[in-house]
Amino acid sequence: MEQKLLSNFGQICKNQTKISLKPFSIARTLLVNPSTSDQTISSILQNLETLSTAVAASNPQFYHLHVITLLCEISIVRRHFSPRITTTLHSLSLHCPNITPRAAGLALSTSVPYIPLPRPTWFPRFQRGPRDCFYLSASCIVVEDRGMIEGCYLRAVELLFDTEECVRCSAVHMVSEWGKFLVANSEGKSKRDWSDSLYVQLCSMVRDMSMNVKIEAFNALGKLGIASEYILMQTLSKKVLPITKEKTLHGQLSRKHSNLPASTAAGAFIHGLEDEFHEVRSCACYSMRMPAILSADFATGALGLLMDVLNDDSVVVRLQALETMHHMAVYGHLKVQEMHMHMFLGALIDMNSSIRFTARKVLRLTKLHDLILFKLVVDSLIQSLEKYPQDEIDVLSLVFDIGRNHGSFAISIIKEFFPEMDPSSSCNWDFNSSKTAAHLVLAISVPLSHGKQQQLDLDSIPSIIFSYAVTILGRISRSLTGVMNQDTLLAYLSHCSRSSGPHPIELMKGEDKMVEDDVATKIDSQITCPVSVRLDMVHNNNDGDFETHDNSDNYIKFILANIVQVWPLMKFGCIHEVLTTLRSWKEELATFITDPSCQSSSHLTFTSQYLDVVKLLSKVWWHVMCPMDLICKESGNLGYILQKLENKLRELQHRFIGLSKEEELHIQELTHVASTLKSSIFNESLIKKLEFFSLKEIIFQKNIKYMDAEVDVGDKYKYKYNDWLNPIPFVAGLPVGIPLKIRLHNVAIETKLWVKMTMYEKLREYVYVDLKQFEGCEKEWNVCLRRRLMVLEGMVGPHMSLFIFARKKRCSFLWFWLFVASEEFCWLEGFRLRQIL
Amino acid sequence: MAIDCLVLGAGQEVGKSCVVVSINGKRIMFDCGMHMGYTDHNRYPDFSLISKSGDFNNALSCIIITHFHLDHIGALPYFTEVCGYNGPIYMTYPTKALAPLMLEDYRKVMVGRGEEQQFTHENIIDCMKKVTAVDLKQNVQVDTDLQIRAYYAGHVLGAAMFYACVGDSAMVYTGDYNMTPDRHLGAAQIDRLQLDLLITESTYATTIRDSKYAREREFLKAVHKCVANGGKVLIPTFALGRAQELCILLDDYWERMNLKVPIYFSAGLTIQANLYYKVLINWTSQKVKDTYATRNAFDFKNVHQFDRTLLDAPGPCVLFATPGMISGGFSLEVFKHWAPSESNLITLPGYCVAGTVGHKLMSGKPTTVDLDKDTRIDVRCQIHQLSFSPHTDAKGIMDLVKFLSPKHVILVHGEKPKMDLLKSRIKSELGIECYDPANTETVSFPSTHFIKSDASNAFIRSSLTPNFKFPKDEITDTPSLHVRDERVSEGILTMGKGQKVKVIHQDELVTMVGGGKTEVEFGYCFGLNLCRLKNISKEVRVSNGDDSLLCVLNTKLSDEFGELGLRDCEGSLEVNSFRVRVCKNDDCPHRVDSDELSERLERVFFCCNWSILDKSIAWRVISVMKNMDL
Repeated sequence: MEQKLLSNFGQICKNQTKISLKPFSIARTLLVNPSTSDQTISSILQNLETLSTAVAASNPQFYHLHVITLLCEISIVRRHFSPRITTTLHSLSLHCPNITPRAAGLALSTSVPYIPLPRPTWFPRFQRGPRDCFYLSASCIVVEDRGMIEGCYLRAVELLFDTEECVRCSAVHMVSEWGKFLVANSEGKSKRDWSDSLYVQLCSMVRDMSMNVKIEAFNALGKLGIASEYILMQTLSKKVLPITKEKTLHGQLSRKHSNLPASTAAGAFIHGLEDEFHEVRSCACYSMRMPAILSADFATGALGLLMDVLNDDSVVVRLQALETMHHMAVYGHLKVQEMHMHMFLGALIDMNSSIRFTARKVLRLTKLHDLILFKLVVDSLIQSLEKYPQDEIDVLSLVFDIGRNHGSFAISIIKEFFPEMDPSSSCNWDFNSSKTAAHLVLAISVPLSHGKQQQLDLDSIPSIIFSYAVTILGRISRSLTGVMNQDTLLAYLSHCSRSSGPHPIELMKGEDKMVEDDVATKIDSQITCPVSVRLDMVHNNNDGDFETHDNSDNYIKFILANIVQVWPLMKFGCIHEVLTTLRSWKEELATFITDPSCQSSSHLTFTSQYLDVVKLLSKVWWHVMCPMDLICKESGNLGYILQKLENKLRELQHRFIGLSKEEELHIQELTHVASTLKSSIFNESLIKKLEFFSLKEIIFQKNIKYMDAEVDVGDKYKYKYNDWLNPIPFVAGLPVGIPLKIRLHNVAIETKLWVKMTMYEKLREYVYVDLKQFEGCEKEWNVCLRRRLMVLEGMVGPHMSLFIFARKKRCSFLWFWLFVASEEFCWLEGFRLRQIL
Repeated sequence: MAIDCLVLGAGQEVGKSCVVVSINGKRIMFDCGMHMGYTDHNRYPDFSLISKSGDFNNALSCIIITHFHLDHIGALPYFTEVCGYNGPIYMTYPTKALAPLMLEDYRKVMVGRGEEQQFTHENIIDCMKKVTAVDLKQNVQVDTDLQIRAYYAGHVLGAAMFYACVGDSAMVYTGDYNMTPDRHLGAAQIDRLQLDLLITESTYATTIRDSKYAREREFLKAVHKCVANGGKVLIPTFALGRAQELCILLDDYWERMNLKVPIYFSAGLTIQANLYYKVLINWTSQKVKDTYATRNAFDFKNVHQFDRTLLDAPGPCVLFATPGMISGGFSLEVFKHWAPSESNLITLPGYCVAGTVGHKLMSGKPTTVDLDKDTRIDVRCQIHQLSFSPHTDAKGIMDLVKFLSPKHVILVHGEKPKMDLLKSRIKSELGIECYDPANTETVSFPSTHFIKSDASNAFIRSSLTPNFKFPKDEITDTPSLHVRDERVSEGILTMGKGQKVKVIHQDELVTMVGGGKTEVEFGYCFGLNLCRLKNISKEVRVSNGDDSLLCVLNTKLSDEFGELGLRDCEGSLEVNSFRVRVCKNDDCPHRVDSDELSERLERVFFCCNWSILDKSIAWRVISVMKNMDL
């Protein structure tokens, strides 16, 4: 079919004598079909190119409009054709200088975000500008002239007032794109002014009558960076705030709308949220994310509106509102108040299961400030559970989570609730009810609550409750699969039911104590990483009964075995989950590291650093694959992360002795991946090479050793007062001795050791330390440095092992850098600052 | 040609909307309403102002009705049947369908009150026969010159704004409109048009309403709380409009929250009204239209017909009953039954006429309500007042005016002091002329009139390409790019005798006029001391002669004016259009000669010419040259 259409298209193109729209419709048919091959599109393009110069003579303007529109469509649907389309457009503009400005504007606005801006000839008269230069680079536009950006921006602003809907739509797009350039190219106060005026300008478009313009405006707003706080607050109120009243911003240069009053932004988001079209409403919800991250005040105001949106008739909009709230919660800007509760908790008993699920997701991250709120939440959860028993697993796990987060509130609820379920009382208590289950889960969550355990009045929880909980063990353990398995739960419950409370079952105290410790470690080791284990569930489909590990080795094995499964998740885009997993693993590992010198710790250090590498790698991966995502912009500069990753990898490679072939190979592979990712920033095609990359399972074959060194400046008291007022007397040319205490770990005696001393950046000296000379002094040497030592500048070769002893210019403290290297070419970085003078 | 706007009703007041606009010779009457507050002649607009003779058919081109509310249509049967207007009348389909119901209802009430009947049932039917129904955005050619078009206005079912244009002049009359959508009607929607005049309502000229979500939330919270506690909710409403909106809201909430409490509609009118909505689905909001394919939003899932036996049935329920202000009828009956119970809830509409039970409930918190001498009812139930309004607020009006940016704005349908405030806002913030005439006043202003002209090919070509300008910034002297899309750039309008008006490109002017190009040039001829110059020439070591003098000048001047591009042409030096040469002509017309004859021998004269553009450069060069003389 595809071939048939294509040949048809080609024939018409060749044979047509007068202009018809048929080839365009055929081309469009092919274009909209996602399964059309690139080859076909390519030949369409070729035909268009030949056409544009050949047949167009009779009615060029009419014809070119269609060609341009089609080209734009192709560039939107198939982004990788953009460069080629740009050239086509370019040649087109050369041949036919009379393309109408509107068409040019439209083409420009569609091209800007996707493809490099055409060469200057695209606007034939741009060349006249004495200082305007465009640089065409591989994936972005570099425009070097403020005047020109300003000109384009203001032109786009003028087009916002066009009578045609589609022109206004494109104009909004253009304003936002050029506006971003403008902001990026300004400094200081004018940067803020421009970003404000851009924001207000776009806000003014949300009151357009056309749905498409409104959607476009909100999308643009959602992508914008920052605006002044008062403008953000103004967007939440239809009434003009006092602060906004007199302010005006850069507007158009000409015509009657010469300046732009800040009050134009009034109520932009309110209008968006109460729009007639659900598309607009949902876009408005989405666009509130960015300002909600930036300003806590805005977030508070926006939350009030979003809570009301939960009453919307469209599921999509409600879901989007909840997602935005979740986003706010992630950034710690979600402050739920009692007045919100009616709407918010309504979402928990919504008909739609995804709404309920998202509402619970938000609730998990919500901090409840007082008991009333907490009670409301628990009651609603129970109500929701009664109505939708199918949600039980998630609801109970949520109850468990909020119980752990709000231990003291949970206790007071239990206290109230407990008398009701006492079997001795006359009331008819249903032990199978959802209510009981929820309350029991709440009760068992309390002893595991985060932090401040001492402050909780744990004794006030009757221990019999834990015995009751055993009766519905199956139900509870199903909900808590992510946290602990059934056996652990049973052990925990039976322990709790014996240990505390008014019921004296404390028989053998000593034994009991032991049990308690045991359980505590067992539980701790598994609970601290709920997310990670849950992720494993998704992939393994096992019932979560991985073995309990009470020593670090097993834990390391577990991590190294499971880290392989993290990568596919990464590829699916669950960056947050992956990072949380890695973080919690790392925290867990950190608890085992006590003394780096002992043997088992080398494995720990390795694993910990390996986790770091994977974490950084995930971040970089995410950056490169999804550069538009908002989150990653937040998570720091790509260059910085890459640098960090490279350092970590180098350390991993060189500071461990005794790595097996496979391990070394894997680290090499990681290094390669990192550098490929780095170069793929400039050349996107490289990404394809990484398609099949995944992490490998590492099993330690041999004992690895971790090289480390510490430098200690000997006479503490002498240098104690070495601050900027009383620097160490360090006169150039005079022999001054600074005694150093150096401690080396796992460094072979054959290793060559150098101490580097730097002063004022330029003055650098190296001292060779012959380890053999100190042999026998066990693992500590006292090295006395004299400044007469040989100067080896420029001769620092790969075979040298160095201590770097750098002295910073301002001399308030000393830096100790440690470079240890083995026989091969290695660089090791890392320092341990024992003492800051 | 001019636009005259005669306000017959709703000028600085609310009620009997009626505006007659003469636009390029056509007269259109917008709305023909009645005032509910009067029973005398003030009830109707003063139609005699339209035509003293009473020949309305020739005086008016057409009548346009925006929606079916009585203050917009109430006087129509009177005007057509009693006053005898027979010309065309336009309104939208739903208005045509619902208007006779409203009018008939009103006539019955009047008859019931024993007032004099203004028009009969037959009058209404005959009147409606003259009506032409129009659809949204349908171009209607009233006659050869006058074209009208309806735009969606929200407000009530079938409400429309009307666009009218005659020749080059165009205007919009909004009627009542709503800029924020509600559950069953959309927001007003109009294209961006080139307008001379916008006549807009201004009911809420100063109010700025907050989000409608807050109002909905309060309402739902109150109702939900009541039924959750087993109470009964009475919602007295008007048959059409609010009842449907609230019902959609509740039905939706019920479904979402999975509530099983029954919602009842009292018999008759409301159910019938729902029927109209179902038929006229195209005039409702986007959401209703969207879901129409799967389910008609007016087929309420949880709504049942009410049965009188249910009045005292136990258990919670929600009941919609008419009339809205509990002035009598079924809602009063239910009120009697339900008001004494604390668990029940009664919602009141935003506005209740004084004297009705609704009004009594609104003012203060009465514990008892006297229905008549013998009946007193204890009121223990909760009261919730609704604040929904189908009119746009001040911000909506401003937004619409800004969006349309007409040349003039006339405010009607509002209260004088508030309209004044809005008027001054429109003038100051938007820079648009604004008026708020009282009844029977006329506002006039000129209308737009375009003149057709030909354009030369060269001009069209120059206009087709984008026009980028690089005007110099006087202060910083850096060219800033000025991107403009002025396709009518820099043309010259020519009007020859007996010829059509034509726009030509500036380059064509000379050939067209047949004249030559004349440039004004300034001249200045002055003498310098030859000795001094020779001294200087020794310093720079050049040979004698006239050329040598110029060389001297060149070296001197290029220090100062090098960056401007000093050129040494044959026998003269040039900077832009400035030109200096040695002048041998003793009778040079530009010679400025005040010196004595004796010194003349030692002097050499330089003659300078320049055009006005380089005035400042010229005088700088001259002053430098004169300084050399010192």
